[in-house]
Amino acid sequence: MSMMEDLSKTIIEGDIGGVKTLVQKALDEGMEPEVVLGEGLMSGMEVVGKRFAADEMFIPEVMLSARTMHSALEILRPLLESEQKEVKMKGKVLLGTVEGDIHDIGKSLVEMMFTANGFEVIDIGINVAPDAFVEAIKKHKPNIVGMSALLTSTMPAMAETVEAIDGSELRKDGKIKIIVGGAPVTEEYAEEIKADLYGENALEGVKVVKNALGIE
Amino acid sequence: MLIIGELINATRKSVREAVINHDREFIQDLARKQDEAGADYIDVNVATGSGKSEKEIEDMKWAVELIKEVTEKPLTIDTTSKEVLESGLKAYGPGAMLNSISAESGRLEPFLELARQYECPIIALPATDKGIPKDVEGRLQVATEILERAEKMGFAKESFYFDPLAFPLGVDDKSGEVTLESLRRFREELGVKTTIGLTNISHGLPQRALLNRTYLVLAMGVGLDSALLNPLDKAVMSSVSATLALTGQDPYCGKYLRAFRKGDLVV
Repeated sequence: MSMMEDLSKTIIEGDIGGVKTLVQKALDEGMEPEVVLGEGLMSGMEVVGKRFAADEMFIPEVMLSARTMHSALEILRPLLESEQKEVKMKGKVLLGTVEGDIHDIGKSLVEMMFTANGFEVIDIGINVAPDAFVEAIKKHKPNIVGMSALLTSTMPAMAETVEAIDGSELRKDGKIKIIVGGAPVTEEYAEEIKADLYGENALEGVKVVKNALGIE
Repeated sequence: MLIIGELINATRKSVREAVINHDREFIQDLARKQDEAGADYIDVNVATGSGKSEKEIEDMKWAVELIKEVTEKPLTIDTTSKEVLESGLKAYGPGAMLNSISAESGRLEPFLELARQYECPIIALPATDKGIPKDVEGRLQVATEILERAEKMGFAKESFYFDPLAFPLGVDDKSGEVTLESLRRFREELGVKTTIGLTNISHGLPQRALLNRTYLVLAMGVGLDSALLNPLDKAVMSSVSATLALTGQDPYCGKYLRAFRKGDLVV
């Protein structure tokens, strides 16, 4: 089996112990970090995504794969950044659960999936007021803003947050795209409140963001 | 063991459509079936996700009125909005259950005022504006605070069912253990009754029914008093009957044998 296939396999199997050794070995043998990431690790993550969608893999296994990717990125990220490579992280995602809502689990899954797919993720937590979203966007300059609401009673806070972002003209020129999600949130609602994107679940969210950014 | 039938919940797609289209028969049928299957309370959640609170207030009134026509079982008004709660309680009259209060802003004293007015048993969740504590100690602490604030308003602890909140096992593999230990300590240290929303535990895993009913047995083993579950699931209801008998809560195995004769017990 080739080195790339081995790397891919560590991700699919969630082999946290093995991935670091293997990534280091690949680098020692002179492979470029972006090749290790793109052709090795990411292709493993794609398999994970497909199997999850087909009910052949389940959340705990996907989480383990994501953690494995995380460990690999700890080695690769400084190299990718320091060498000013063309291939940088795919984008910066800022995530939060809207005001009045303290649900955390779904958002954490989303964070994991984006990280595992090569995005840089900033999680600003739960019960985040519209103003706090605006401040965080100014500070971190993401290109994707993700909002979560798990209650119908807090969904209006999503609309308020979108308004606050537009009120500060942060979405002007399409600099950022807003994606919303959470159990009660529907695609129609996303359109109604003028969110750019809707993620039915964590992996679907990654997919629509990639499409919107023209990745792959 | 108090069974709360969970099926009339608008986060389920079929129910959401029925609420949006005001399909009376669909909702009444679900209420009737859960009643016949042995639910003691029928949960009513009409949160369709329209994002409009006026709509939800009306939908709650609509649902409560039509469910009342087909069952004598009391209802559980399931909402995080005070206005929707009030709409449901007003439509039902005294004796509905309140699902739920927490230590989040605006969800304790104002909800309890309504509970007092409509003489409701109350489900309480150990959540604050900062979230749900991950560990047993944290949940016990929030539950203690809720109970103290309620007692200050003159409520007796007998009015409450504390739900420690079972997180999906798929996301946190210690969740089952933390929830069981929380249940045990709520009972022992606070002296309150307990309940759980059962099906949360299995979210994202295959063969959910197996996890659900196994977890129910474990929770009943530490003294669970109530559960929100699908009463049309014969396997889970059979587990309830068997566990009650096995834990000395079914004199002369009467209920177990009645269930057997009705053909309700499945292996």
